[in-house]
Amino acid sequence: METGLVLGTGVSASRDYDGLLAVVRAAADSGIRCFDTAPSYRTEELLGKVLHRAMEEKGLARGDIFVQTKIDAWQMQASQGSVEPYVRDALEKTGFDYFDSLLIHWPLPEYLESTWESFVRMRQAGLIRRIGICNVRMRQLEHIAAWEPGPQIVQIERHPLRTCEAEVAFCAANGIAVQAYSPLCKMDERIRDSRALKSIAEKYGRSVGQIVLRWHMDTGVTPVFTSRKPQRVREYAQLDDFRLEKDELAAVSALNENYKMFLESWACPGF
Amino acid sequence: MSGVLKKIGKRKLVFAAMLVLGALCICARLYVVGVLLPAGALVNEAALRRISRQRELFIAGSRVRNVDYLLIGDMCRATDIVPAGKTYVQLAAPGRSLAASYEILRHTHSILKEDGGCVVLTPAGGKSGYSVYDVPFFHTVTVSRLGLSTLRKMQRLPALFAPWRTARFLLGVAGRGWRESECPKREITDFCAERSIVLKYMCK
Repeated sequence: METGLVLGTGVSASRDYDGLLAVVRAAADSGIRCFDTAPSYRTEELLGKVLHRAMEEKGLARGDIFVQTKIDAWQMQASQGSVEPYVRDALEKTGFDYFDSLLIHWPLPEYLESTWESFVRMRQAGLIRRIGICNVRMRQLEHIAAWEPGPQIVQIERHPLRTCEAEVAFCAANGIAVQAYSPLCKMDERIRDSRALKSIAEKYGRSVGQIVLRWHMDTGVTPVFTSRKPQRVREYAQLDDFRLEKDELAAVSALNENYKMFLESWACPGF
Repeated sequence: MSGVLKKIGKRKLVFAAMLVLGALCICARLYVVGVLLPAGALVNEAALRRISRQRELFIAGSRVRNVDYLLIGDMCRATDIVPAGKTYVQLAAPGRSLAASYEILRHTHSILKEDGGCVVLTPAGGKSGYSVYDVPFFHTVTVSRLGLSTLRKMQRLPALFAPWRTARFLLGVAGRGWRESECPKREITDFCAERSIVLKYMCK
């Protein structure tokens, strides 16, 4: 991953053109070049339009940005894993020739392997550059990492209340990039009001959100964050001029309660 | 106008319509219908709310996570089965079959604590298939796989399509005499073993 942050366009993102354009402009101005979407977010087409506009305004070439989308569970089921038509449709909607990354959104067991084979074929055909999977735990990771080729990216729900140490360590050992969605756990009060985080934030003159995003990056994970506010995007992008120390990283990790907001089995039956 | 309707909620509108219709029937001296309609609407609404409260445990934002026990099946007294001091979630409905209990397990097991969480299945003996009380827990891919799209539409009116089950559901009529036994379905045993879930199968 070329940059340290990914701007997500999930459920909390703006759904109107002007709103999303303002956020993407702020991201581009702040050096964020990676963008994440998915069919279920209903922002694929909108993101495509906004990115083309932003690229034109900022003089960015296609190779300067990283666009990532996903394949949803219903698409895996409807096509029995042969998802190429959906990807071609998404490329047409977004107006791009390729996606930098395509991820399986939920690892529906019945169609996991066939969908992966489809991903590999599309990568060979140049429709996508990297392939990966979301919402996996150690059980799936150990199984999937043995595939040839295996995933290059894994996106999981990760934040101080759920530090996923085993998954992060496994991916690091196997050369798999890790992205964290809901990196701030929607500013749950256990994070927002944490004395440890507030103390670290005060030391660096930063917000709690910036400290948590820095913690992700310092532990080798790329946060995928969403905001409707351009000023928030600019704030979260200002992370390059400080690093957390070892004991500070440990203090953040110590908040772990293995609390998961999005239950995998609820969105992915048979998980 | 449609925005206003959306805000009020379709369910509340239908409920209010039933009450109004009932009142109109009484005015027209159709007393039986006039009483049954709003009574039925009240009962239906109560059942839907109870199911809703169970479903809400699983959505993002719920703080209920990493529980020790997950009880799925026919109505039973949780305190008869779950040891004191252990946390649990119970998803019980009258006449819930083993097949339905397994499908619900496939959707809900992530709420259990990792390594050591226990699932207790208490299916109704001799029952098969799915009911309007099972479908609310099913993802659209499951509804599609099992061909339950009609049942999915019926789930909005449990009092109409499953009146006896609805009465038992709301009254909390729980069976007793549950005893542990071997799960007759190998698929369920394997499913739990692969996920390090302790499985207890109970029958009457």
